[in-house]
Amino acid sequence: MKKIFYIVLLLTIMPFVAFAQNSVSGTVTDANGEPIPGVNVLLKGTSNGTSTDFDGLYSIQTTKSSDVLVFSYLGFKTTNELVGNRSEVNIILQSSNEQLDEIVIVGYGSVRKRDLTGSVAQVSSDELNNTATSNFDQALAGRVSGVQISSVDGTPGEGLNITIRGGNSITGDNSPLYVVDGIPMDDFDPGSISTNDIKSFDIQKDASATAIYGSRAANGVILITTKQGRKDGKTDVRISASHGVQWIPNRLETLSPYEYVKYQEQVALAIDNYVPGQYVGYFKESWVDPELYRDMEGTSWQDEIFRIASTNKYNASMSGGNSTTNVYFSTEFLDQEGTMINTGFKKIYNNLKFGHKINNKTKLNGYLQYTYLNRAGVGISGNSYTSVIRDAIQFRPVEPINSDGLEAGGYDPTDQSQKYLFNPVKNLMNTDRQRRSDVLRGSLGLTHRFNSDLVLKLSGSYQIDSRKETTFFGKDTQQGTRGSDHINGSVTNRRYQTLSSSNTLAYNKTIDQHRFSLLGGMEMQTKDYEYSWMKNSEIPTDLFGIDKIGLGISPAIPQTLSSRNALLSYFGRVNYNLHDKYLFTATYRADGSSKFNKDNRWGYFPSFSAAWKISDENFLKDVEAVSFAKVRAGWGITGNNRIGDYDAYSQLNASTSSGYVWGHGENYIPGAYQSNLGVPNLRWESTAQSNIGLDLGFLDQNIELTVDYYNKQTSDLLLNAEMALHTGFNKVQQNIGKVENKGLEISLNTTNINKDKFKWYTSFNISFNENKTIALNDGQTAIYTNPNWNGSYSEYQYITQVGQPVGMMYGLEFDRIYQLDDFNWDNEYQTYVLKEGVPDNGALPVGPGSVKFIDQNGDGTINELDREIIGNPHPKHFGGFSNTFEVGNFDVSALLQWSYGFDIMNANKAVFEVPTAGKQSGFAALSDAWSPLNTDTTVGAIRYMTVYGAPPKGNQMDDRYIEDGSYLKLKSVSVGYTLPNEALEAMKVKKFRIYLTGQNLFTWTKYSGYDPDVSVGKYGALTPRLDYSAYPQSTTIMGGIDITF
Amino acid sequence: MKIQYIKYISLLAILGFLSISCSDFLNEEPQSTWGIDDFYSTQTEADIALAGIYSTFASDAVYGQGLSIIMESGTDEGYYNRRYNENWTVGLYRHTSSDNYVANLWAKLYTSINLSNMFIERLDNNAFEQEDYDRLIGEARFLRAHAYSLLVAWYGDIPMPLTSTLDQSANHLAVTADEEVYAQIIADFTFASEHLLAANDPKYIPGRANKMAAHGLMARAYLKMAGSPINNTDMYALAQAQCAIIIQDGYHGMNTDNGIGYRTHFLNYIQSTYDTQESLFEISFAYLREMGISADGRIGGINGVAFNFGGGADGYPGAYAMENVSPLLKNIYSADDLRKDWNIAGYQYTNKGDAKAVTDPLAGQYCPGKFRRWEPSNWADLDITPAEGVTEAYTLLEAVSSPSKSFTSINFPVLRYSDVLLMYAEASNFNEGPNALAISYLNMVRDRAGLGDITIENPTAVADKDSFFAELVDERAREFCFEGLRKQDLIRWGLLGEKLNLQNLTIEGEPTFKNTNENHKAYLRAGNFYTEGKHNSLPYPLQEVSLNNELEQKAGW
Repeated sequence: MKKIFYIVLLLTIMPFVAFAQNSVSGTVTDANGEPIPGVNVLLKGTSNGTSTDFDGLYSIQTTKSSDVLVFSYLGFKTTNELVGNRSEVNIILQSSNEQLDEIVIVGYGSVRKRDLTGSVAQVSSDELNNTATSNFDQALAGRVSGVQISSVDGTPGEGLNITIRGGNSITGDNSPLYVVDGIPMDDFDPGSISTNDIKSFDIQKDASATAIYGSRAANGVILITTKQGRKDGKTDVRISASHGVQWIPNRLETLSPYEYVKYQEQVALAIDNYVPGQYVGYFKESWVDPELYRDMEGTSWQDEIFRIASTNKYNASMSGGNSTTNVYFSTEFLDQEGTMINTGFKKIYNNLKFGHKINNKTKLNGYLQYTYLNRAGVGISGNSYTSVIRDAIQFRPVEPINSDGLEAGGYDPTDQSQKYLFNPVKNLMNTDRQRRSDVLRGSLGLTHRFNSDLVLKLSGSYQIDSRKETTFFGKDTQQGTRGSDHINGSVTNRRYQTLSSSNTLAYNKTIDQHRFSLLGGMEMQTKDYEYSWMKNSEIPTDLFGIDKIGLGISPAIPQTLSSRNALLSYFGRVNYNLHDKYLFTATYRADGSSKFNKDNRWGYFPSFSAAWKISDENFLKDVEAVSFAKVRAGWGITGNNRIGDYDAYSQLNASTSSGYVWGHGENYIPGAYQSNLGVPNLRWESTAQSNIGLDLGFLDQNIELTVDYYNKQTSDLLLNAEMALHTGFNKVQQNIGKVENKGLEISLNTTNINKDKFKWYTSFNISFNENKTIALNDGQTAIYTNPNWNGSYSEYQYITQVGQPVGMMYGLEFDRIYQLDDFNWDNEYQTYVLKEGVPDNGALPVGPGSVKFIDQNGDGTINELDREIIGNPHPKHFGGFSNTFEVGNFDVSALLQWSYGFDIMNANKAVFEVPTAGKQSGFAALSDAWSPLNTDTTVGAIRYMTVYGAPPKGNQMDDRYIEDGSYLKLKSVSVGYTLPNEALEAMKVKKFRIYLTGQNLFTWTKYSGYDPDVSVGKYGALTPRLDYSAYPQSTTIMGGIDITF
Repeated sequence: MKIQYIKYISLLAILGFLSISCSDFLNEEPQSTWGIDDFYSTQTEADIALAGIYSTFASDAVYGQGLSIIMESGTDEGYYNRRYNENWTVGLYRHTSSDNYVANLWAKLYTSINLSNMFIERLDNNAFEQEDYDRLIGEARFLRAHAYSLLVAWYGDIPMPLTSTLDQSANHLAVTADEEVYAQIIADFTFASEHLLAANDPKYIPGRANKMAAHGLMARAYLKMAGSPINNTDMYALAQAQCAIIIQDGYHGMNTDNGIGYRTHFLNYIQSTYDTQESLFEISFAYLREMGISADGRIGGINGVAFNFGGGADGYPGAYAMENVSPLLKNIYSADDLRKDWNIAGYQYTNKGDAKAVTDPLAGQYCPGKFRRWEPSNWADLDITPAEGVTEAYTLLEAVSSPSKSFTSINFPVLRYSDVLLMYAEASNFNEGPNALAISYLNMVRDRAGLGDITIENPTAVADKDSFFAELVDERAREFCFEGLRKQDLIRWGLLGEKLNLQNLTIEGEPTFKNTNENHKAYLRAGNFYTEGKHNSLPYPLQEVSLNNELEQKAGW
């Protein structure tokens, strides 16, 4: 280690001792002032040449003032420039052909799109910017093939699930690694950056592109490059402001007032065993007659908790500088109300980025970013105890004409079966939950060019993400009124600190037709995590909210925790380009992680890839129609180390439930339990991926087609694997199992019309992925998962089975409702007895109107042996289709996004569509409950002959609640008008655009829930596409102006 | 100057990382947990480790409610009373191998065993005086033996790890025959009995394992071996010998408290007071949730006396009252048995605040009163219906300032002195038939219950070996009902099926029984679903079977 230290130190100091002289240098930029890397610079008439670096900088030796420099770069017009007496020659190249020569950022470098050997996709910053979204990830869906963006739910500001080429991990996290301006970031919060500041967005999909990020790259890598200051002496000041409205476009269909009262009449009748008696009497006393409610509007509790919300977003940035020093500053303020009352998202963002050239060879750059994020609102989704959505569905829509003494909504605080319900409006209004994040990032980098071929880059960075979550339950909340803690508040502090350093040395050389580039580097990173929690209960007043929890008289024992991990890496890359037709890339990375034992600490991640530009071969050169053709192939290994910092250690812990009392007066003694079994051979999870791709361009690149096929084999899964229980452990983190993902991706971009006054671009992409579990723990054929979305519905509802995709929905197959002729009447016992050969449904008693399932194994009863795979959460294909028009000064773009052929577990239905014989309301289907007069139905009876129709516990999930989730969404539409140049000049403004844009405008789907883009399961890949009480998705329309001075 | 400046900055960027050595850089030790190698070396650490083991017994799956109430239901002492569901699967004999109770009990007891094994392996011998070291080891072995006793009783042949789990290879372990498991249990209890403090030692901390408890639980293990399924009758003598040690020691005895000893003794459990003379070993619970600590149980809650006032909110001694007393139990008490009114509550508190008598044994509120959280302040109120809006007073018995609706602090007995006496009587009766000492021990138990000498009041009951045995079968129900012992007693006697049949006949014979009443029919479920043979031991949990390649599921499951 010491040796390396000296080498790096030496390399850092060396250049300043030995400066080269007698050279011409400068920057090559495009028409927009963006530097172009990789431009060939040749001294005319000689073989002396060089190429520009990532910042478009070059430096070349000249001999006399009549020397002419030739700047050539594919896709740009070759330019000759007389040197004269200048020592600095800056060149602006005019483009000849845009698409192929876009610069694609790859790990620790960049490459022209035409020279790519791996599978990398780009999203333009305009595409992201022109949407009505608060964070960039919300704008990604449908843009890129192979990248599946799905929402957890519609909580404002919440991050999305991004899965690149199918999930590798079963119990681990499948989100990609983010690399922002060259710095790898785990746990990157997409809210912590402004979409406006993103210059380029590159998604590395295959292993040959990602393997250089080694152990963290198995889920793909997203490289974000942010804007920097201009280098041409000009200054841009950009101001934009937008205002938007959001609303929840649909409602779950609940019983109308009339239907509800009819239903209550049915309930009363059912409890009276269909002979009007006591309960029908009670009903009549309060409600009198359902017909009285026929035209009543009643209360829609969904309307009560939803609102039309406003969003305001302001952005200002300044970009300026010269070839020596440039500065970029931006600030953003976002205030988004949630569409559910008392929820919202706020963001304040500041970014200062600078670059400074110390001399012709050495450059400093750095940034300082601060982001404040605040997500307000009680957790709506996936809470098994309280749920405002459930309360809104189950509260009755109308009050009886003669009061029945219950609170509004039919809520009866003394009714045991309603003790989980609470007025959802009060619950929302009086629960104050704030999740605040202060993210501070800084980075300092140094680039030194020893000569035109050798470049050293050093950088150090830090990130502090300080998160504070406060929750305060006021008096008028479920907890405040009915919980044992009454008014209570808790504060959770989490602090994540990352320090990292990334250093590379790159060497480029062109010898005749051979172009080499070599890169070597090392990285170090430490991450610290600190946690603290405090809570006080029985607070006498909710006057102060969370600001004075010290008033409480029942404090909980405070908790603290801290942990730390470190990563040390060495890596290298070789590129070889022959005749500019045959391209080869090899990368290698070695990662050492503190998360593993000494013996398993190091992981090695190689990759190889090659590409052949067929279109440059003679036999294709003359084919006019084909403007570009390239075949790519690659293979590589990437890893995953996303496990707990100390999972490799056997540890003893003491928790609040592991202690015991003894001695006179029963003294509490903290107790130790083994919180982790450190499996000795715990090591990296590794994914081997092969990729074959084809890039085609036709008609002068007006049609571009990319097709990729991949095969990913993930082995040694870091699986929180089940143990034989006699070991004393239920689950232990181990390297067990294998998962396969295979897929095909196609994207097609066309320029349909390209006239001065009318341009029309289309882009289309579609992805197919097949996911399969190849192996699990030794001898284990399946992992059964109880998604635990509600304690009363506790059963295995998902299965991950060898030979099947991960996270399949698992349950019973609904047959029909038991009818009278399934039974014999037993006169002695006055009861219905199932006929011989008719299976029961798992628990007795069963009667007409009970739910009948298919007895798969024919043993006459229904239990877990009769469960089958009833739904597949993985879409057959997904993609996007967008069109952009530029007509005069107007621009219009529209994106359609779809996901086809997947299922959703609509757990809402399993609760709200099952009659309970209570006062709760529910879905409209309750009107169709079985009764002797309504036998042709799939909804069970309320009650018949003392038997309740609801299925027994443990048999509550069946295929009636699995729905096709296929959807097509009009994801975003934007219309803009840019002022013409004449007007701009008069106003002394560089650019002025006004626009109107919408997000999630319309969804075509058969799914009956709020939105098919939902997945609130708690256990990641094991419980996908679960919809229970999710925060609904919103539709957004935003208008704004964007001015650049 | 400029060069210096750059050097400084670039150095800063990298220095922090590079100036430390490589191996140090990647070494990170847990910061908020103990490593297993640097623990078990002080008295405090040993106490924390032992508290962790005790805590597994106080968990929900074991004495919290799973083993002590839910799995124990479905005998001739009581049954689950909710007809709408079959939530108490094991008590209704409706469980399968994927049942949560079946898995959780197994998992918790093995968690306890793994912790005990680790304690025994790793306790630092050099850090303690030999005597203290042995005592600590003895306590861990006591707890391990108790866990294995419960496992072997409920599951039969079981895997028997005696070293702590180190890696995944531990998954594959064949079962050990029940007799060998018992041999280990005896070895552990023997060691414990040699090294643990006696309950009357001034250094003894009540609530923890002690010398005589080890002898007593050893006697229980011998009796288990003597009965079904092992049926090694040689063990009766060994059981008798262990009981004799306790009896002759002289410290332990029964709480007689002026003729209300039975009540006083159970009030001690309810109020978390250690009564170490009669209670040889118990599981301690405390209500500490206000501090965020769960050390409580459900004793007296789910098997408690119905209390419906207050809408299920905290602050009231609520009871879910899910267990009914069997009419069979009611019938074997004589009218003047003081234990009857204690064990069968016969009262409830309605949602209107009316303390009310419950006389119909088939009423849903005919619940056990053994671990009652409350009593009417005035017993005369039971026969009075208060005016609308008036609530009758009740007395909170549990020692908490504000009772929780769901969780209680009531301790649960594991071994009481009367058990020692009756075990002695049973064992000696097997070898010698009714004998004076055995009968005198039975009489001691009867005496405390307010009953006279059995040789006078019911001489035929002690006339011969079989009738004395039958008397003891009933006496154990009268004395120990709802203490988590009955099901295993009936299984070792081979009487579970017989008693369940008798119970159903008794229920159907009750004058209030209506065969059209769904609630009444639901009481018959345990008897109807019980299958002789199959239901005398639990299946292995599904997860165990699917991960342990050396273990086969039992036939029939």
